[in-house]
Order: sequence, then structure tokens, then C-alpha cells
Amino acid sequence: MSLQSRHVDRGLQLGIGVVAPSTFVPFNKSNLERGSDARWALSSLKKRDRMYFSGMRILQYGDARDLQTRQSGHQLDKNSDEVMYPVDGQCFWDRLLQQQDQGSIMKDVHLRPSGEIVSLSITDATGNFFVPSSLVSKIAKGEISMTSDDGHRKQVRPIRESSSHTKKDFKAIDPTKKRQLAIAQLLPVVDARLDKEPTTLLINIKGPTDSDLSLQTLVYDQSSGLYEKHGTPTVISLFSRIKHIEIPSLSKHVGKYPNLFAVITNNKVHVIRLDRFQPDSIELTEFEPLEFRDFEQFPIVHVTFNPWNHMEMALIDSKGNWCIAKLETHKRQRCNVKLRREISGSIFDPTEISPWNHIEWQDDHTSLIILNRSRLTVVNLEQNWQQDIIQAKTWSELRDFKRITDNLFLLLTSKEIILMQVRDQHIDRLLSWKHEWDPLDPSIRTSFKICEDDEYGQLIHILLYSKLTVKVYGILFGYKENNWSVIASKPFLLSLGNIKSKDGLNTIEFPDVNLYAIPSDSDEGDELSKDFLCVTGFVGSDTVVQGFLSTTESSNHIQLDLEHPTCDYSLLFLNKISTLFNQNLPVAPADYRREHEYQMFQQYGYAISEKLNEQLELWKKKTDKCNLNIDSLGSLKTFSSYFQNVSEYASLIEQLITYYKEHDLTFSDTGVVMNQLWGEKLNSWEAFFNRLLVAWDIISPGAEDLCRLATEDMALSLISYQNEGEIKNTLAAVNSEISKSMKGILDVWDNDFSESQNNVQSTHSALFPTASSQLFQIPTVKSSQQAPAKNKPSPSSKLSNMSVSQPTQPLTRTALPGNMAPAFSLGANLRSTQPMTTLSQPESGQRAKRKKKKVGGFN
Amino acid sequence: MFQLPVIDRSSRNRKRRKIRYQYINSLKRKYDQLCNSTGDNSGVSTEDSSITTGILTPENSESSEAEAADLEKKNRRKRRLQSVLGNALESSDDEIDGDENETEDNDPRTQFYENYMKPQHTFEVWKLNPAHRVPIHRKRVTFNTIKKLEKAATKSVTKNLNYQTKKSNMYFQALKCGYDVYAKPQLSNQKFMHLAHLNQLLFTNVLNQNWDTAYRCFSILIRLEEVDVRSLWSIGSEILGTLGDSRNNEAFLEWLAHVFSSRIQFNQGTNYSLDPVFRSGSRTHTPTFVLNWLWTRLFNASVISSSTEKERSLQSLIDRLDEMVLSPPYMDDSEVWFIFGLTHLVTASELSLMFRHNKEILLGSRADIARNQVIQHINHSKNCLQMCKTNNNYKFPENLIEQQLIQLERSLYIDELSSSDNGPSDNSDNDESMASDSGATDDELRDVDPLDTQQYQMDNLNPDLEPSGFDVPIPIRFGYESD
Repeated sequence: MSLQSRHVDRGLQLGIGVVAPSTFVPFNKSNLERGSDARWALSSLKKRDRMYFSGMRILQYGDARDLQTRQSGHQLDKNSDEVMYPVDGQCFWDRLLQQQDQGSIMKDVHLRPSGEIVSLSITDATGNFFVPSSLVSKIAKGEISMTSDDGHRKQVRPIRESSSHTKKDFKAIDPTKKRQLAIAQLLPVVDARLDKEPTTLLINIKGPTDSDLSLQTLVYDQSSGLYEKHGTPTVISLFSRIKHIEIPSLSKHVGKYPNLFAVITNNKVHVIRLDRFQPDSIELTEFEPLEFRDFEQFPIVHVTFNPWNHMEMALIDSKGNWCIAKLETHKRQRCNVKLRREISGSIFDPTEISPWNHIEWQDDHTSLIILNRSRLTVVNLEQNWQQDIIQAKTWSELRDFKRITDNLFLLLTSKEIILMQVRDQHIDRLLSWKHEWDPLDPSIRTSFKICEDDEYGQLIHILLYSKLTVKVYGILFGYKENNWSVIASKPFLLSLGNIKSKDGLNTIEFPDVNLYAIPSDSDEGDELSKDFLCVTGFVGSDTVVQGFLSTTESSNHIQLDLEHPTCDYSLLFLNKISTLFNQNLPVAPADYRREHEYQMFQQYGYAISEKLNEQLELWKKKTDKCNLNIDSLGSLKTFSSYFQNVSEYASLIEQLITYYKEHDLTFSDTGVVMNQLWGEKLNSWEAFFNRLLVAWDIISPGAEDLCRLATEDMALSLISYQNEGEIKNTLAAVNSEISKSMKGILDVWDNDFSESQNNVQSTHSALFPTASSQLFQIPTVKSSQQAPAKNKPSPSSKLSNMSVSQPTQPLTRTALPGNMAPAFSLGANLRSTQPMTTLSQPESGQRAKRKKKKVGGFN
Repeated sequence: MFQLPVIDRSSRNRKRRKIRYQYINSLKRKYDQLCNSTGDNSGVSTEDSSITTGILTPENSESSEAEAADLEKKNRRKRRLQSVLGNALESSDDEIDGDENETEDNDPRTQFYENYMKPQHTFEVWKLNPAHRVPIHRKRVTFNTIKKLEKAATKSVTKNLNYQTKKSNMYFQALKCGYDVYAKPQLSNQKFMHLAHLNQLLFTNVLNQNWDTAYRCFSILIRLEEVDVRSLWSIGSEILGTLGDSRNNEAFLEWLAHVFSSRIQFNQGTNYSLDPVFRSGSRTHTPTFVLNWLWTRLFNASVISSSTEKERSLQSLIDRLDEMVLSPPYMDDSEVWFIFGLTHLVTASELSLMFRHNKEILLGSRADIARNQVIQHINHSKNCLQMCKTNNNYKFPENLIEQQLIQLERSLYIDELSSSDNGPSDNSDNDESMASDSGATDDELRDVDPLDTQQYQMDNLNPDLEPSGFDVPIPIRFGYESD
């Protein structure tokens, strides 16, 4: 009898927001304090806090495999884990180009001197691509264009390697690749006789073809609570892609540590026994591998060791044929794996096409639990019966299965996490939690850590992770035998740190740290017992990260980029951008003369204001009420020709703004824009230009031109304008039209976000980050370093030259903004009678008059 | 990353599903054929073959000429009918995919699902009863069989694939090779993209417990017309429960219970695109949000501080439940009965508490009335729990609750007795019994006062309770029944 009420065959079915049934217990100890809700059974159990990954550190850096699998992944799609359809070309071509320059496209492939030709060895050549020579020559001739990014004004794709959703339509994930990384505590017989402690090993996969198994001894560092690598890893080549590593988890009652483990590759099952730890190596015995053809000729997808006798194991192949096997050791001949065909069977289901199968021992050594994607079957070998416990054909699929203890099992389906209890061959569904993860994600798996807890009896920490994302979902179950099974915390989302990866997590492991081995400092012991060490591996990389699963939040200082190969793609790309820039730098036209610049500005100003007026007219004609009519100056598609005097340009923009402000047009505030771009408030575009120049001067000889261009571009695209009156009208119109409920949202929205900025500005500022980040990444990167050089004249000679060559600068600055008159005259060009000699000495009265006339006409 | 609250209607996925189930169906058909021809019915999966007999679609294999001819005739008739209706295009489509495998206008997915039971209460069909045990299927499936199956199935599917896109072909290749295929969500549609992002934000914020943001996401999401509120109700309830006061959450759940409670029979033949487990209800399945609503009401009511308010809300809940249990699905749902019983228990405990508080004021017949009220609720509670037990599929701590009820009854009279005897003794007695209760499971009944047993037929209860093991649910006769 448990304290909880629940359905007999369904157990508790919970999820976010689903209330757990409880029992009212008015006569309770805690009842004495009246009014508390402690009168409900179990309500005195305090919910646990959410947990975080903290103090994450890299245990092992990925080696060259990173680069190679990632790239060869595009090519050798038969072998790779995640196959992209079709090949996404950008990175590939860039790499190809590089390779071509070096003239080292793959010519010869060395095969390892081994009886079986199964694995490409690591030669220089394998890192490269095989590319048909005809293709290379075509590219060299320029018949095929490498990239589609021509011209710099267009915002082009290649900055993000994979932007298109349509290209990669689906991801194919091999379900038979299960555990690719293991932390195991193994104890060879020799050590056991000497009563030594077990050795912790990091077993993971290495090599360009994922065929090498690396065994790395780990040492627990007591001060940090983390593992340190010890010695050099022992690497065994298994000549075939490794799919799964199985470590025996022996029952508590046995009280032993295993000394062997199994590895499943593409065509064999290897059992490897540890014999002795030497200071610099590990002595191993490899059993005669069990080839798939020895059984039923289907790939074996899972093996499991008998928890009471690790010399016995159960295995299952991709079609559901299962068998018991015995490990036989011999003194003289090689140890081998012997199938006991008399104890075998099948759960084959013709409607099941996934090769995912799972086998696990139940609560005693004569019964097994066998799963495929849609079925969970219990088999009793002794009494010769089997029973389908679960049939999951309709709403969900089985995804993962974990044996927590001899009596507790964890089942992950595409919808729920289910805690099951086995007692005398009878399975009980205790508790299920609806995890709300995407049910279509086929790669989700769980890891768990069970620990004793004063309040809950046993606390089971469950993490759910996927091969598609690096985020981890976590929840805590509490379990007390015969008493309760409860959700001990709210679900939470964990983040490992700043890791970029298109793929997700491979495995999360919770190694058992021998707490008795730690001299228990009272505080530190407490500290550590709360946190759990966990080790994580990533898909497509042998980088391994370790850290704590902890109740306290602390920042993870990991910066991992598994997205790009190590050939520093970004640098390559930067170079490309800069060459593109250099090629497109404005060159002073032949007839350029500094004196004519004013005239140019006049023309430009005229052109832009004309365009603007046209635009305004256009807006007026528009009947569409719901259009907010926001546009940037850049959208007018009017560009100035070559100029050098930036201050003049800046003042032109300013004057344009001041002028049109009088005509009910609102512009984005320069200060806000600058704040977004630069992180501090600058007053004018000229100041911006100067800053930029200071920053870029070191980088490029054409910095001045670049900066001018950048400033112009940014000014045009970031200054947006809109008709304030119109917007108010529009808003009013929209407000009157929308339904009541929508209005409700709108009101609530506004209320909560009542910021000091007015509507217009906030809209703009929302627009800016995207614009700025897309347009120019370089200045924003550099800016933080150069920011201290505030308002100082640039140390470079160029800048001082420039300021010298612009003697009118201070004048324009002081004179113009106060004048309210624009630096250009609309009538000037029409009349073309007297070109202005200088802009810094305008006859303000005259110009103002002209202006008025003209604008009256526009209106 | 998280489940979208919309039905996937994209043609891409529909096509893929079709390919998938076509493949599966033809695998199965071929397998049945092989097994039947060799008379190997007892082979690998007897269960599957037993299901097969229930298949509705006629087998149109070459074995029976007559059937094939019959089918041909039917097809011809259908085609003619369609041409009469001017639906020429349809008919040509039918010719493409309906020649060998598709007997009628059937979707392969529908065909597939026809063979399986669609559970309402759980996502999977759970059969925990040992009666379903069968001998171990010893016969392993051989390589040749699989090859034959796959060859036949591939052939029948690729025929149709010639008309499909390259991506569909690739999809099929991946499927055939045993890859799990994850179709990236199609974000071509702006609105859908918006929805997907909002959904992502909603879940991320709920999991990170940023309730304000989550509330906003939720409030927008439920206003999008594609979104089914029933897929999001639990999230919404959690957000409302955390953010606002309990009233909001209650109101939301009540609204759900009123709007979406359905008494339609769950039709196994219909191809539901979404599961009903947490989402909806039927004639035989109480929607989870209704249960949630009832529990929330009960929990909320039991913590209200003002006693009159508390009494009122409990009474309204009782009235409500009284109505509900008259009709399916609630009348057969043990959990509803359990809630009903608990509500009575809570009310009884509330009233008895009031009674004990006011025992100085209440005298004579007034005290009797108050006492009767409590006893009435206790009896109701017993009745409800009895109803809950009749279905025998709901486990609750019977002994514990029963003990509580007895305690309640006793507490009504202890005062009277103790007032005649020595005053403080009842207090200590109460304390003791409390201590024993908090020991939770080990609820051997404390030796009750002899006076109690005399008055309230405890002799009837005691022999039943004391030996009752926790595993064996022995029907316990309540005091009310013996009356």
C-alpha cells in the first residue's frame, strides 16, 4: 500500500501543470499548525530546486577526427552518423580551393597492413577530398562559379554556413549508435586480489573512421572534484566503425567491479578484458570477436551483461532475434564468446523497420526485458513464457530504456519518461512524466543518477538529451519503496555553456565517484555530495566535457565551436571579405577635385530630398491603413558619388533630418543608433567615422576609404524615417478595427513594456541590431578594444592629414546645426547660376526662403 | 526542440508518411503470405497474425483469381463513376497508387492503424496482466526471409516512387537502410515560423521559470488559430497557477472543462492525428483537465483561510461533483469518485473542526445537528470511496483514509465524553493518534476507547482492518453500510 492514490495499471500520469493526486490526512503531526496545506499527504516533501551544469571543463579535446569526420561526413555518407542531403557546399568548396592551391588533392590512400581492408589509416591524404579532375579544371577555368556572392552591397549567404532550411530537408540518424563514450570503473582480477580500488577509465572512440577505441586512465582530483587524465591513452584499432560500448553494471548484491566490457562495431562484437594496469599502458585480452554471421547474419545492435554474472551476456540483433551467450576463458587458446542457441528467440515484427533493439536483464537472472521501437516484451527463460507489456504502435514510440536498480527501470518514450518497478516478475508502471520534447526527434535518450535522499528516500536525477541539440532537459523523481513515487522538482532546461554545434549530445555519463576514497572534509564533502560529476560527449567529435550537475548556478566557461572544422574557416572568410572590400573601394574618379565636392553634395542632397518627397507623396496615396510606413534612407536608393569630406556628409544628413523634422517626419535618433552600434552615445556620424578609422587604421591601408564607405552605408541604412502623424492615425485605425481580445493583448503588452522611449524609437531600436549585425560585423568586433580612444585625434598620420585638409570642419559644425538650414539648396541646381563657393558660410536667410518655396510645392 | 501544438498538415510529411506506411504494410503483407504459405503460423509472431485475421481489406494476391477480377470490376466501376462526376484527375491518381497495394481509397496509414488498438488513457497499450503470457517464440527470423520481405516491399513502393520527388526517394532509401529520419520542420510559412519560435520560447521560459515571458508567449500562442488549446492547457495551467492567484488557474481549467468536455465515443476506426491522452476526453476517458480542475478546486478550497468561504467553495464543489457523477465518463471514473470522497472528507474535517471550536456555544440539539452534518459527510465519503473501489483499478491508501474517518467520528464525541471525564486527556490522546498517523503506512489501528466502539460499531470495523495486509485489497465494510 502506498501513500499515494493512483491507477493500478497506469500509475501516476503527470506533466507540466498536471496536478498530482494526493490524499487528505487531517490527523497528521503537522496538522497542529493550522491553515497550512500540510494536511495533504506528501505535501511536506519540499520540492527540489532546479539544477544546472556548473563548472564545466573540457576533459579531452577533440583531435583531428573532428576535422576529418566533419568534412568527410559530407562525402562518405554511407558511414557517417548524420547524413545531410544534399551536400551543403560552401565549406566544402572553400576547403577545396585551399587544397587546390597546395596541389594536394588525394592521390594515394594507404591501407593499413592488416588482413582486413576495412579502415583508412590516418595519412595525410585522407584529410583531403577526392574531387574529380574534370571538376577541378572546370572550376579553375571559371566555368563553374564557386560562390554566388558577387558584389558587396547584396547581403549574401555565406556568413552563416547553413542558412537555408530547404536544402537540408531531413536528418538521417543511425539508431544503432548508442553509447559512444563510457566512464567505467574496472577492476582487473590481479588488482582485485590485491584488494585495490577500481580504476576509472574513459573509453571513447577515436580515429578518422571512428574505428579506434581509446582507453584513458582517469584520476579523480579531490580538490577540484573532477577527473584528470593520467598517462597516455591506450588505443586499440577494431577495424570497423564502433557503434556502441557496453559496460557491465553489476548488481549491488554482487559487490564486485567488472573487468571487461563489450564493444559493438559495424560487423562484430568485441569483448575486451583488462588484465593489468602498467604505469604507461594497459594489458588487455581481446576475446575472439563474435561475428554477426555467427548468429543470424543481422547486425547485433545491443548486448547486455548479466548483472549477477558478467561472464554471461544477452544480445539482440537488428531484427529482434535474441540469444544468450557465454564468455569462455581458456588458458591455452583464445578466449571466446559462445552462443547458447538453445536459449534464444525472436521478437521480430514485420511492421517494425527501425533496427533499434534493446535487451536488458530483469529482476533476476532468468528473465529479460526486450524492446524494439514499438514493443516491450518480458521473457522468462526458466518458465518459458513471454509477455508483451507494451505495444506502442499509435501515439508514441519507445526511445530508450535504462536499468536503474534491480527493481527499477526507466523507460523513455517519445512522449513520456516512465518509471517502472519490477517485483516478482510483475511490472508496475509507477510514474510517468510527459516531457513535451518534440515527439519526432528520434535521437532522444536519457541518463540518470540515483542517490539516497533523506526526504525522498531515493532521488533519481533524470536528464534527457538529443543528438539534435546541446540543450538538456532535466527532472527529478523521488522514489521510496512501497511508499511513493513522486516528481521531486519542476522540470528544467540545462545549458552546457557556450557551445556551437549543429549536432547534439552523444552521451551524458554519471561516473560513480568513490566517496569513501575521499578524505571527508566536512564542508567539502557536503559540497560534493550535492553535486554530481557528469561527463558529456558530443556527436561527431571526441571532445569530452566534464562538470557538475549542481543546484547552484555558476557560469560555464566553455567555449566550444564544433560547428566549423579547425581550418579556421572564419579567418579565411574574413580575408575574403576584406579582398572583396578592397576591390570595391571607391576610387576617386579622374575628374575628381576637392573643390567640386560641394557641388556634388548639393546635387546629392537635392536628389535625396526629391526622392524623399516622392516617397512621402506615395505614402499619402496609399490607402492601406495598416502599413506603418517605416523606411530607411537607404531604401531611397540614392547614393552619393565619391567624396572625401565626411564631416560635410554628416552635416548633410543632420540637416536633412532637421529640415524634414519640421515637416512632421520622425527620424531615428542618431544617439540611439550609435548606442546600438558602438555601445556609447555619439552625437554625429562624423564621430562614428573617426572612431571607426581609429579602429581600422591598423588593419587596412585603405582604412579611410573603407570607413567612409561604411559610415555612409550605415548612415543610409540605419536612419529610418516615418510619418508620425500618420502612424498615430494608423494606430488609431488599427486599434478600432481589431477585436477586443487582440486589443487586450496590445494593452497588456504596452503596459508592461512602458519604457522611456516612445513608440517610434523602440520600433527602430528593435530593428537595428539585425541591421547592424548583418551589415558590418567587423567594426562591432573591434570596437570594444578601441573604445577608450575617445574623441582623441587619431594617432595615424592619415587622420591628421584628413583633418588638416578639411579646414572648414569646425565651422560647419558650429554654424550649420544652429541655422536649421540644410547644407544644400534645392534651387541651386535648377538655377545653376552661382555655384556655392563654400557651404560653411551660407546666406542663411536666402536659403531659408528658397527652401520654403520649394517645400511648399512638394506639399 | 519541443512539441508543437499544431497538427502537421504539410504535404511533404504526408507523402513521407504514406511512403513509410506503404512500405510497412507491404512488408507485413508479404510476411503474412510467407507464413501462411508455409503453414508457419505459429512462427515468430502469432499475435500479429492473429491480428491479421481481423484485417478488413481483402487480399488481392495472385492466389485468388476471382478476387482479383472482382476488384478489377470494382475499380472499373469506380473509375466510371468518377468520370461521370467529371473527376478525371482523381481517377488517374487512383490508377497510379491504387493498382496493387491500395485496394480502395485507403490511406496506407489508416490501413496500418486499423490493426492496432488506439489507447486513450496511455500513449501505449499496457498489458500488465499475467494472463497474457505466451510461450517464448523460439523461432528466429532468418536472413532469407527478411531479404524476401524487403525485396517485395521495396518493389511495391518504388513503383510509386517514380512519380515522387528526389527527396522522397532519398527519404525512402534512408528509411529502408534503417535510419531514423528526423524531418526538419518546414519553416517556409512565415506564420508557422512565428508559431514555432513562440512555442520554443514558451517552453524554454517555462523550463527556466521566467513566468512573465512564458505567460506572454502563451497568451499569443492560444490566439493563433492553428493552435489547439488542448495541447497547451497544462502549460497554461502551470503558468497561471504560478503567476496569478489560484482563481485564474481555476477559471481557466473550468473553462476548459466546460468547453471541451466531450461525451463522444472514442472511435477506433477514426484516424486521429493527435493523441487523446492528455488532450481530450471521450465517453470512456475523463479529460485530464477536468481531473486537474477538480483537484485544483479541492486543493484550493482546503487552504482557504476564512471558514465560511471555505465551506461555501467545498459545498459548491460537492454539488458540482454530485452532478458530474451522474453521467459518463465521470460515473465510471474511479478517480472522480476518489476526489468526491476526499471532498467529503475535507468537508467533514472542516465541519468537525468548527464543531470542536464552537463546542462551548453549541448545546443540545444544535450540537446534534452539527454532529450529524459531519457524520453525513463521513458517510458520503465512505460511499464514494466504496464506489471508487468497485472498479478495482484505482489504488489509494484505504486504511489510512479509513482511519482518518474513524478519527473524525471519534473526535466528535471525545469532547463530550472527556467533558464528562477529565478534560485534558482527550488532547493527549489526540496527539498520540496523530503521531501514529504520521507514521503513515504502518497504520495498525490504535486501540480505541472502548466507549467509541460501543457507540459506533467499531467492532464491525476492527476485525476487518487489523489483519488487512497492504497488498491484498480486502473489501472493507464501512460503518455506513452496516447501518
